[in-house]
Amino acid sequence: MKEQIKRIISIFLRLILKLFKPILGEISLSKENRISIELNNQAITICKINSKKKVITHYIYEEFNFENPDTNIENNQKIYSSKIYEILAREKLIGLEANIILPTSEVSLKTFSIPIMDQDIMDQQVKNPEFWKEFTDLPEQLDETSLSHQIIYTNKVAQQYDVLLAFCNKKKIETINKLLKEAGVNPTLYEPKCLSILNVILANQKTKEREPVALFEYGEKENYFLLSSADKLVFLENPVRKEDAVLIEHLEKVSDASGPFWSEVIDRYLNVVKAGLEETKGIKGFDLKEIFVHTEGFGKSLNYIEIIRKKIPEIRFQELTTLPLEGTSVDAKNLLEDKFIKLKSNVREIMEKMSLSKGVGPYANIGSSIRFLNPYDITEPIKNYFKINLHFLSERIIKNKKIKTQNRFLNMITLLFLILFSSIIGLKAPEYINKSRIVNEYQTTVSLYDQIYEDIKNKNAHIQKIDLEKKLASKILTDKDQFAWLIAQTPSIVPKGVKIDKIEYQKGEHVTFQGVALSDVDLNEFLKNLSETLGNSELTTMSMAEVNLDQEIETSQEKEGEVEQMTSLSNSVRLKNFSIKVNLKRMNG
Amino acid sequence: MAKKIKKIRRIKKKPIASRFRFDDDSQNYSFKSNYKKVFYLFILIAAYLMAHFGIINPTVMKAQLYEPDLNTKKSAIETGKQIQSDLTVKEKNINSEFVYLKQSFFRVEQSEDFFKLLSNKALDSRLTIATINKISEENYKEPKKDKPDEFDVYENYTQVTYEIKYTGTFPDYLKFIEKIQNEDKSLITNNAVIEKADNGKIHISTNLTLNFINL
Repeated sequence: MKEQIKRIISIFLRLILKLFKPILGEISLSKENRISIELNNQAITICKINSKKKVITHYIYEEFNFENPDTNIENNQKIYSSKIYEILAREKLIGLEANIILPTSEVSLKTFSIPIMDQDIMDQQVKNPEFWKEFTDLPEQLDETSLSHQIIYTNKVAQQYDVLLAFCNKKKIETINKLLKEAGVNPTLYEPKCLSILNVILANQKTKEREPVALFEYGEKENYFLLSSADKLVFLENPVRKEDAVLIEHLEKVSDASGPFWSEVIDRYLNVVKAGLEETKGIKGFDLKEIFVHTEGFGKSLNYIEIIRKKIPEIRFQELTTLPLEGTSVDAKNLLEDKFIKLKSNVREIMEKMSLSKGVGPYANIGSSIRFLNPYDITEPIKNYFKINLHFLSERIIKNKKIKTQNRFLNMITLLFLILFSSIIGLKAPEYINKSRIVNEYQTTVSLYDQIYEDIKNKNAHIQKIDLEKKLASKILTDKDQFAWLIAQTPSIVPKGVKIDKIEYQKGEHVTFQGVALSDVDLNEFLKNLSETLGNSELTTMSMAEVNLDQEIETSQEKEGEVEQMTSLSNSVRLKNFSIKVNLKRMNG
Repeated sequence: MAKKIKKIRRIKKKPIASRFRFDDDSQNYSFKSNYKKVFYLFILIAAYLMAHFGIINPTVMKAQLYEPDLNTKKSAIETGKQIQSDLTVKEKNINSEFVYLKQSFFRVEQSEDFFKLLSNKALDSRLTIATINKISEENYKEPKKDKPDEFDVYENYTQVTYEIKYTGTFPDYLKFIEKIQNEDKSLITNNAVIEKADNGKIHISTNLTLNFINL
């Protein structure tokens, strides 16, 4: 279960990485600022290429010229590192990463087939160097060996991978690693010299389909024959005797090399070429028309090539050179003239000078300097077919590079998003502030609006209520006290000859006056006054009456606070009793 | 003159290796920092999405929705304030009018005011109150417009009827009536009988209805 989950996560991560591979690969490549270094006890060769512009910007060949001829890298690392530091500092190449060229003679190259397997399983298997022992011979002490492999062809019919396995002594790499780190460069890539040269030759090919290439290297130290097609690589070491090497060097000084002696020597050299040609004969994609000849340290090789051309006339032997071919009859190949890569003017001069004076060719350095670690395996500016890295920590370096690149990518994305989001937010901010002000204002306005109209409603309701109450109160109060008015009017309407004994009042109905009058005239006057003041009056009863004088009759009239005695009679007088009813209904109406 | 000896300082040269900081490939870098950064990135994106789609966009959309209504409401507020101010004046006026009207009523909670008024005025007018009898007390009511048999009863207004008998002279009674009238209280005489008595005095028997207010 746990394994399955791990597998699912691994597939998921691989998919994600595949999705971002082009970007991550570009980032990773852009950060790889590299130089190639070929280092031996006597000299150092440094080459730097601007891969984007495809221009060789630096080419440095510098001999150490130590006073002690026994000075060597293994025992005098500090001296070397200090010297190399000076060179790098002078050329302003400090702090870069370095691709180190290992002599082909120090690297073992094997090609063989293994069954096709899942990528995860393959990754797990190759972690253990013992795995390779199943397919080829390896040194006993694998702990001290640095291994690197490359699948050069996948044969789906046979269900096999054709694998190129390279291995060398780990200690040598550790020594160079330490030395160069102290000198100010970080060596992260180690490759055999033969593959560097092969990469340059292949990079120079202009055809769409990959053409077969054969490289014949001879010299004091390096002797091999290398054949490569789109799906096969054949590497044959040339076990040259020391004496033969000395003879070949001497061959160029000989005026006539047509004798059987030289023929025999060269035959010994060509055995490996013949074997190689025999091995690849009839193989599809291996129809060779030319073999590139490369040598270092011997200076001129005209006689040698002349003889081998005669020995194998069906193949064209072309010497790899950096010298201008124009105006010469030499059948050579200058890859730099094909302009697949440009050179700075001073670089060309140095290359030609070194080639003439030291017999040093730049192709291995050029081939090595176009190499990248390229952890995401994207298309490189100049294609490299062989990607062997013999650094004993190459897997870890690749993994760390991936982590660093992803880290950088994430930083970049985060920063980009931060800027993008900040910009969007920044651009939107004024609108947002304005709109949020509107929203806030709206809320306050709505609340104010509600408050005002609620208040208006309440006020209206209150006013209506008060108005109703007021109307009701007014209505209640409208009912004035008629009686008070009537009583107030009474003194003014009662004549002097009339005396009121009783008044009966019934609100809204009638008022009855009972009393006595001295004469009809007085009564009439009273009736007249009543009609004028109160309304319709009706004399309901009238009778004669005699009043005893002892009985005092008083009629009071209050006028401006003065009380006047109206009548005072003695003995008896004849008076008229009356009762008058005044209808108040009309009055109300 | 003694020669000044210049101090020679020995500058310790840093070893070359310590001048460069190359990647330490002897160790495996951890993916943890990458996961952390992915997490931060997600946080950043989430924060942005939240700010953009959770705050800014809704606010902008809300504002677009509110803006026309806001302008309408603003002008309505202006009108409303004017109406409010007019209503305040109207309310004040109607209140004061009502307060003025209320003064004509007796207050339910101060029913003794009526007796004070009556006795004081009678005393001032040299009138003697013989009896006071409460005859009835009921809420003010009016016949309903649509159903004249039924009544609308107003609980805030109470009408109390008293039977009161006085004794005094007619001029004194006139004074009394005048004084009562001057008080401008809601007093209604339902019926009254004024009869001559001995010694130039009169007996007055009235049924008075008083209006009480409970507001």
